[in-house]
Amino acid sequence: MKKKRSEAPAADGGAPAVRIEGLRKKYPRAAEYAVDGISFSVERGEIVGLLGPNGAGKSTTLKCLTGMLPYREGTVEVFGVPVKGDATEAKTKFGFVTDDHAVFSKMTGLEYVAFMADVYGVGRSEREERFALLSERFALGGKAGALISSYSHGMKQKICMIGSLIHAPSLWILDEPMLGLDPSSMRSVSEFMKDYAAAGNAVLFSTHNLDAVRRICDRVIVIRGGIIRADMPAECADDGLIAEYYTPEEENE
Amino acid sequence: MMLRATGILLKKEAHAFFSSFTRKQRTPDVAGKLLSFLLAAAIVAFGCFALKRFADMYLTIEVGRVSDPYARLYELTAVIYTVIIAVNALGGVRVINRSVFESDDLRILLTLPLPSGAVWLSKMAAAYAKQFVFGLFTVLPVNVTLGVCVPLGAQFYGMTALILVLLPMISLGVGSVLALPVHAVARLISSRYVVTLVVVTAVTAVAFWLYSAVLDFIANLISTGEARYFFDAETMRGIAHAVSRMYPAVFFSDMLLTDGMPAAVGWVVLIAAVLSALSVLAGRLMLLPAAQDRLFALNGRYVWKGRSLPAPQPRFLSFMKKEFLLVLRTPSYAFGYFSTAIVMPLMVYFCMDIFSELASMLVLVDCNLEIAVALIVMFGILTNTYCAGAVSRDGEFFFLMRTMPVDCRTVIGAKAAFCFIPSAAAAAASAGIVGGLGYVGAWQAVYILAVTLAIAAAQICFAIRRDLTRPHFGGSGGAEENATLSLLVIIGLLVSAAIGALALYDGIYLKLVYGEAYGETVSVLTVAAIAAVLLAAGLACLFVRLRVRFAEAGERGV
Repeated sequence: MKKKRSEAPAADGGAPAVRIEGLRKKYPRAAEYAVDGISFSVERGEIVGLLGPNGAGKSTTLKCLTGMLPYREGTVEVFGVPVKGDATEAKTKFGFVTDDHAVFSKMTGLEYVAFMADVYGVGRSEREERFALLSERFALGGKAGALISSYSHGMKQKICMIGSLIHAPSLWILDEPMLGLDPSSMRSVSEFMKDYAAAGNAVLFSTHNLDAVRRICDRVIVIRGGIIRADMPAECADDGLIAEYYTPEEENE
Repeated sequence: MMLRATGILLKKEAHAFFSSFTRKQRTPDVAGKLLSFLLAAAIVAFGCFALKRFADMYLTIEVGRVSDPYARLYELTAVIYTVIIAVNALGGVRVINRSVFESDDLRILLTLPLPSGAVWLSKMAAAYAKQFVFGLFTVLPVNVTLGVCVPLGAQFYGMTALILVLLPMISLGVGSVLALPVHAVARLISSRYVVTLVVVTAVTAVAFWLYSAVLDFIANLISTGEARYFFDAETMRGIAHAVSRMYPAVFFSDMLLTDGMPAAVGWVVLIAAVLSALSVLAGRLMLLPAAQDRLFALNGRYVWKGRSLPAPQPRFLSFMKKEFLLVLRTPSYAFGYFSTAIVMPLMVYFCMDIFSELASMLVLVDCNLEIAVALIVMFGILTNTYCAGAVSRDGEFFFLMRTMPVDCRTVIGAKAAFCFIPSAAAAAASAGIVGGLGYVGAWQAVYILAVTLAIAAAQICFAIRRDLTRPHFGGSGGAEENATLSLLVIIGLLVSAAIGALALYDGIYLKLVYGEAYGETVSVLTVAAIAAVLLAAGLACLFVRLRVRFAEAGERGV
């Protein structure tokens, strides 16, 4: 297992960045649970990858974790703060990048980032400093003044990431972050994740990219059919093992 | 290959055309369809009625003391068909631009091994079907009305059928040639959001003014009998002269009414054939290549060239700014929000003038206050329908807002407040107009404003609650938004009719029976009480259990 990165000061009693216990989620009118009793945690300074085939329950888990989806059964906490009911406090602690580039395409990149900074109450000097840093890290170029509707797929992904990090959250959650990124941008994002976690923050993301998981993550959690099939160090996640966890049981038999 | 491809594509277009009638929707917009049908029927019925009245008068005009109804009918049909051709050509431009430049399926079709001619033909066939249906609502009512005014034979009705077939070919031919320049102009101004808004608002206001002026003119002509004086010998000579040059409309008149029918049919068929050939050429050589450029190109316009972030703002204002940018930069939303709100005071002004005069002639009681209340409430309710998609227009971003550390009352409250601004401005301007022009006193204008604002706020709350309960996040439009809009219009019209009727009953009947002071007091108190109840109900409807509705909105779509 990789060596743990530096620990962040734990003002909240050292609670893990993410703690999920027995989470179950069923969509309205669905016959089966999309997530069926999932439990795991993510520590500070850790990068965790959620792997699983399409419809496994990865995105649903992340959406319940971020408060995007309501859930009735289980416990979900961010740095010890429950994400249920009025979860305003918990929501200040993370930044979330969705898989569908949920941004206002009628805003410019600058307007969008400023909007996100207003939402999270980021002051003028901090937002300018962070924006300068992040736009350089993600190679946004001179496009920030253009309407987001004019952005390419990868550019939209980058502006979403910058918007989600403008308040410097201690937990960064990303749903399929590598989709649509060119190799160079993928490398920038991977490097940023590592640096971010090295500073004591936690990163949790879902992906299909096993290579990225092995390169970036400390741990990998494999989900299939709404259930955790494996929770292991990233270096143990070889192709054969993952393929076994991906394959439905009846086929394995 | 060409024939086979055309056949496949025509089948696809036919399926798309008919599926809009047969597709089962989760929430069928019955109210909207009924409303659209009633509205279309009302417009056609009103048009036929006005045409019948005018034709009855016009056909009896004597030139040189000689009455010749068929000559007058010839002139009338030429003028009417000039208008019909112009309207159909504009419709053709719109249909072609939609099917070429805004068509999602063209993105896929252009990448498939299909001849561009087949793609164009299939698109034109779909456009032809739409234009044919449009012709049924323009040509048929006009010709039937004219047929009622004057006995006309088989030639008239047979040629009507032929015109229905040929007219879409002419309008689409003209449309194909004009489509590209019109699209270029539309593109040029579409990213100049403020310019577009100002132009559209000005054009709408002028259109309303022209409409009311023309109606006023025709009503005067018919009611005062001044038509005979207006259409004097010199005017009639001028009309005959102008009509003789109205090509190709005169061919339609010849087809319908004269012995020159065979030659006229030949001319119209020739024109239709030439324009159709032009349409194919324009489509293959200009429109499809232009569409390829447009559909796959990114719009790189820089709206705001600053390099630093906008200054921090309080959250509520930031959410309102987000609403403003979204509306301002989407032309259809901008028109709904701002243009209709600007036009509303004009409508109040035109109607107040007419109804105040009418009431003073009919009932001999000053009921300007009640008329103003009825008008401003009704136009206000019709104007506020822009808030029907206030939640849905956030699209996928709505779900991301749920992950933000913001109270849902801030998010929804900002939407309601933003919707309320143009509504309040329009109500204030309308109240200012009726007060400033002396129809009502200053305090009465303030009372009208208060009542209108309360009703507007209630309507906005109901609309946002409905949209939050049944949102659609798949882009602009959609059955859900239409259903919300239809409900808003129907319920709004019923409520405004009830308020207007009550106000006018109090204002006229009670004033006549019990005196002006009593009638006015009852009227003011009744409407104020209704407005207060509506406001309280609207606020409760939106904000009670808002947290739950906000958390669960569109859950299946996440």
